[in-house]
Amino acid sequence: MDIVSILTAKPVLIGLHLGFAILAIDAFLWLLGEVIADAGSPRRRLAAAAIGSISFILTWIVGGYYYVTFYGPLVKPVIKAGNAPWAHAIAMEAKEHIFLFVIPIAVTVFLLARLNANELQSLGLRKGLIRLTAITAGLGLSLGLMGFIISAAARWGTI
Amino acid sequence: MDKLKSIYASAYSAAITIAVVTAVTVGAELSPAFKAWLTGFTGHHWVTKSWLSLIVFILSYGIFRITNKSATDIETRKALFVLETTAIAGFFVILGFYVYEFLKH
Repeated sequence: MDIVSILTAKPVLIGLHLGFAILAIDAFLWLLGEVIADAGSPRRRLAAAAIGSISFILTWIVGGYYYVTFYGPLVKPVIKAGNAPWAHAIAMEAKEHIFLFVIPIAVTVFLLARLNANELQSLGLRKGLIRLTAITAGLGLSLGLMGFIISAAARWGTI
Repeated sequence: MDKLKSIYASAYSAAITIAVVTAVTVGAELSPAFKAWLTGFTGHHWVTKSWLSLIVFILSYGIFRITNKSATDIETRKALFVLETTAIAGFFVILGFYVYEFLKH
């Protein structure tokens, strides 16, 4: 079995999608802590914002590939025929589209994170960075919750 | 300040992208012909919307960067507020729309 076959196997794709998503959410929560604590150096903020943004991009690519290749033909019919069809009709439909908000917001947060603590304070942008970082992490967490609902419906929706 | 100009451009571009994604998502569900048209570009409507979100964000960012000579701190704060409001509104519009659509059928 070659490396491409391993990486594109269904459980591995799900694992990578979830793993990168968790990393992205954790990075934005880390960034939130850095900004709230008023840490002086922008280096840690930049690292957190960069890790978060790159992880969101990776989870988008991996999750998108899984969604188009496997979810549509294999999982969606099982959920729709099960006892929780709303898991697809509401959670999956909302998740796949709301996710498209995340990358542009994450890029904006990354650009804000380049400002040092004094600049954030003097320009009055600290609260804006806190709110936008919280929105990014909150969107990630809500998408994670929708992902859990979808997985649960696929696993237990027919029992 | 160049950093402010980037933040200002990115915030408005992100808000525009969210508005476009929300409108296209709802529009595609209401019009099967529009959804089929979107599917025709890449073979899957969601892949087309993904590319569209990237294109809209990058193009808008470029336009804001070129046309705006500078951005003040007040203008940048306003841009962030617009983005925050659009993101929260977009979230509830899409989620609410799919809940409504499911309950309707």
